[in-house]
Order: sequence, then C-alpha cells, then structure tokens
Amino acid sequence: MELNLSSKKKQWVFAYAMLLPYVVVYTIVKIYPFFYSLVLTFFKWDIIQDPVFIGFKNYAKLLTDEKFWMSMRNILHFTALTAVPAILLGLITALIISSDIRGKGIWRVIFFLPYIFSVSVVSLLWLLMYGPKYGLFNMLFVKMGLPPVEWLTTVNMAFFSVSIATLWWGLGFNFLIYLAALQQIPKDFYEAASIDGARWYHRIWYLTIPLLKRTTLTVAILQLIASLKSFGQIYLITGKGAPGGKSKVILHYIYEKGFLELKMGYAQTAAFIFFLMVFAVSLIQLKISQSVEDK
Amino acid sequence: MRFHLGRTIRTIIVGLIGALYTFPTFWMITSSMKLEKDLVAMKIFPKTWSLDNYYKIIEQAKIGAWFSNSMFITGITTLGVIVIGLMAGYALGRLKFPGKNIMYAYIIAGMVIPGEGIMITVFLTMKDLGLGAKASLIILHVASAVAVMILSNYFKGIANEFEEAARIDGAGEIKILTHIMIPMAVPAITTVAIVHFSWIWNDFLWPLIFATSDKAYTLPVGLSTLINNSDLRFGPVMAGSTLSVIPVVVMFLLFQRYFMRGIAGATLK
Repeated sequence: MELNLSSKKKQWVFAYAMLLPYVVVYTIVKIYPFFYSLVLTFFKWDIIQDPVFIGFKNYAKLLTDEKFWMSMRNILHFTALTAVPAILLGLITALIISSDIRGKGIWRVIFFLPYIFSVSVVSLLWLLMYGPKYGLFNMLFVKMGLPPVEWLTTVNMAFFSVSIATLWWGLGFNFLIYLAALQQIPKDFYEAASIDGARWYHRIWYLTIPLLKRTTLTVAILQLIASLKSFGQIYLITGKGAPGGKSKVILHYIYEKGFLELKMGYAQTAAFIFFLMVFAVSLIQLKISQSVEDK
Repeated sequence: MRFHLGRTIRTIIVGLIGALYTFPTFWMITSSMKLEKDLVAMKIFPKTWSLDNYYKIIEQAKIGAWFSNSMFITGITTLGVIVIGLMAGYALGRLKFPGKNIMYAYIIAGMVIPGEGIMITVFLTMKDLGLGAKASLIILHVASAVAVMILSNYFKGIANEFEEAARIDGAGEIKILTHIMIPMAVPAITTVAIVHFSWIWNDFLWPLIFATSDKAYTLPVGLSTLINNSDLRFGPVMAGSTLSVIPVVVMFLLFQRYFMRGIAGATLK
C-alpha cells in the first residue's frame, strides 16, 4: 500500500521523533567525548587548575614513557596468550557438545555459566585457587608430594595464571557463537559425507571448519578486541599490577594516570593510542561484515 | 549397539570435563556454607552446612547497599535500553524517511569507538553535566547499538500484512507501534532485556571510574575491595560472591533460550 503524501510526511516526523532519544544520548556519551578527547590530548590538565595548551608534548612524552610501553607490551603479551586458545577452545567445545551425546542442554549451561559472572567474582574465585599457601592448587600439590607453585609472583607466571582464569570465564561466549553457527549447517551436508565413508575427523577438517570460516572470522575479531580490552581480572588477580607494577596493562595505565594521578590530557593521549589500536581491528570487522552482506 | 556405547562413552568424557569445569563454581558455593574449620581442612562438602558466612558478609561489608545500587542501576538502564532501542530500532527497521541511511551510518559509527578509549572525556562530560555516579552510569549505557541492531532486524522481519490491515482500519503510526509491532516483538525485547541486564550487572570498569564512596559501589566494585580486606575470611567473601551472581544466574536459567539467541544474534545476525 502506497502512503499518500500527508501520511508520508507524518511518518517522516514520527521516524525522527523515534530516533531522537537514541541520537541525543549517543551524541552525548560517544560522539561529543570522542571529539573532546582529540582536543584534550593537546592540553595539560589536572582538573583543579585551568587546562594549559601544550601542543604535541603529551604525545612526545608518551613515546619515551617506559611505563606506557610496558603496559602496551603487557596487553599484547596477554592477548597473544589468550586469543588463540579462546577461539580454539570455543570451537572444540561447540563441536563436542553438538556431536552425538546425551544431555546437550545441561552441557550447554555448564560451559556457558561462568560467562555471566562478574570479573570480581571470577577474580575472587581464582585467587582462592592460586593462593600461595592455602590456595586449592598448592594444597593439592603438597598433598600429592609436589612442590607448591608460585602462581602469581613473576610476571610470566601471573599472566599464565590469569589467562587460565580468563579462558574459563570467557569460553562460553565463543562456544555459544560456534554452537549457533553449527546448528545452521544443514544436516544433508553431513549425511552426504557419511555415505562417502568419511571419518569424523575428515568431516570436521574438510567440511565443518571450512563451513565455519565466516563465523571464525567474526569470533576472531571479537576475541581480539575483547583481549585488548582486558583489565579487571589482571588488575584484581595480580593485586593492582604486582609484582612491582610490572603486570599493568594499558587500560590500567590509563585508569591510573587519569583517575588517580589526575593527568587528564596525558591519560587521554594514552587512551587515544589505545583507541587507534582497537579501531583498526574494528575497521577490519566492519569491512568483513560488509563484504559478507554483499555476497 | 556399538553406536549406543560410543554415545555413552562420549557423554561420560564430556561429563568429566564438565565436572572439572564446574568445580570453581561448586567450590564458591560450598565454601560459602562452610565453617572456618572445614574451610581450612579443605573439605569438599561442609561437615555442617551453615549460613554464618552470609550473616557475616551482610554485617561486615555494605553488601546490602551494593546490591541495591546494582539493582537500581541495572534495572533502570535495562528499561531505558529497551525503550530507547525499541524506538530507534523501529524507525530504522520499519519506517520510510529521508536521510535514513545517514542516520543508520551515524549510529553504526559509534560501534567502532570503544568506550574505554574515551573514558577520560566521558567522565569529564558527565561531570560537566553535573550528573552523579548513578545517573552517569545509567546515561552511559542506555543508548545501546546492539539493542538497536537486534530490534531493527526483528522489526524488518515482520510481515507487512499486519501493518497494512491496521492502516486500512485507520490506525495511526503510534497505534501501529503500540498495538501491533510491540506485542509481536516480545521475544526480541526479552532477548535485549536479558543480555543487557547481565552485561550491566557485571560491568566493572565504569562503576570503578565513577565510584565515589563505599556506599555508592555496585556489587562488582564492592566485591573487588574485599580482595584486600584482611579482616574478612574466604568464607564470607564467597558468600558475597554467591549472593552477587544469583540474580543473573536465575534469569539465565529461566530465559536460557533468549539469552543464547541474544548473544548469537548480537554477533552473527
């Protein structure tokens, strides 16, 4: 049914009225702060006194700030540790749960559940496991006659331990996306393959994984972004960056510079560099999702 | 027969991995009900089941206040996400108007701006607006691009006949929305509500930034302060953790299907 001109006009007005609340709030909390942040990177400001224009000095200082680069190296280190295992484990779990087993519904709940815990709960839980003397792991180790392990005392060990906790926490998300994607693969694909006498691992390698290519691309990018944004669990499990602040990641660095040291311009400059890093990954995602839609 | 045996063996193996996977959660819940001596003795199950830890944590930490802060912020924000997302999603998914593509692009653009990358200026903006911690946290999350995407896709999928029939009967835009579209979108609305409730309930960075006093903490921020509290033993802390996950876990178990659809839908479409 074609609308006549006056009801068309009514619909225009109605449509913009409907968009208004979203656009107003979104402009206040995202678009305005974004441009504000670009400006702020050229100022020195401690909130109390007036901001002072200092040109590119924040950027220049940041380039030689050893602590900034350490936090960048740390987040890349942590991302390298978590991203690939998180994708692989999500895929493997989804493949297992969607195979011919009993009680699929229960397993789905079990492997997804930790995802809905807050980062504080996850950190508290794993601190209970990693405690040096009374932690569950070390008590078990000692009982079995093994030496206790220092789970959190060196940066490398701390990152390893926090990675395990992170994988446990976040597995459910990738798992669920893969599970949904697996359910969309028509059964006939598999039936044709099983008639040809393909073994299960052939089927997975030559059929399922290629069919999941698009999903894997999405999962990989979302995982990469999520890993780069890791903060809470590292901050809490290592006890705010221990040992000696050496395990601080970039968001921790920004939080400290901004909200504890009140260096607003400087902190926002670091945040802007972080922004560029995530933005680059997001652009790839946007590009991929568009090229998929074109097809 | 061989086929059946394989299935049982596979189920047992998955069961063992599942049990291991659930162990931390199980440990949290049982520890919260153990007396100090059972905790130290590392008993798998408490010898005597006790709620002492729950009384202790409620008495010694401001769990009650944190819980109600979290409830208030999460409840209002989720409601806002639905109302605002419904309106924008309906306009983008269903209505014809000039400049639609531009509006769409404008909204999508925000998805590539990570909030963490502008956290300093977001904080300053909220401060300039004179908003307190709670109001800031609500405003911050109330415009959700994910909600708009889920809802506009859903509205797009609703057949035209319903709308046309209503128009012939003389229904106006608002009536079509409230009497036809919204009732039909209940599954999508439920999905949006549940997914956002859990995200906002568990949010840590933003409440940490806006946290002013221990009375104003949300549960995740409040619980995180217990890590360095040497007066509190693990038992009460685990009781606090258990209390904090109850609302989301109950909701998840009740609305599992919507929840999972939401997570998958937000990413795969």
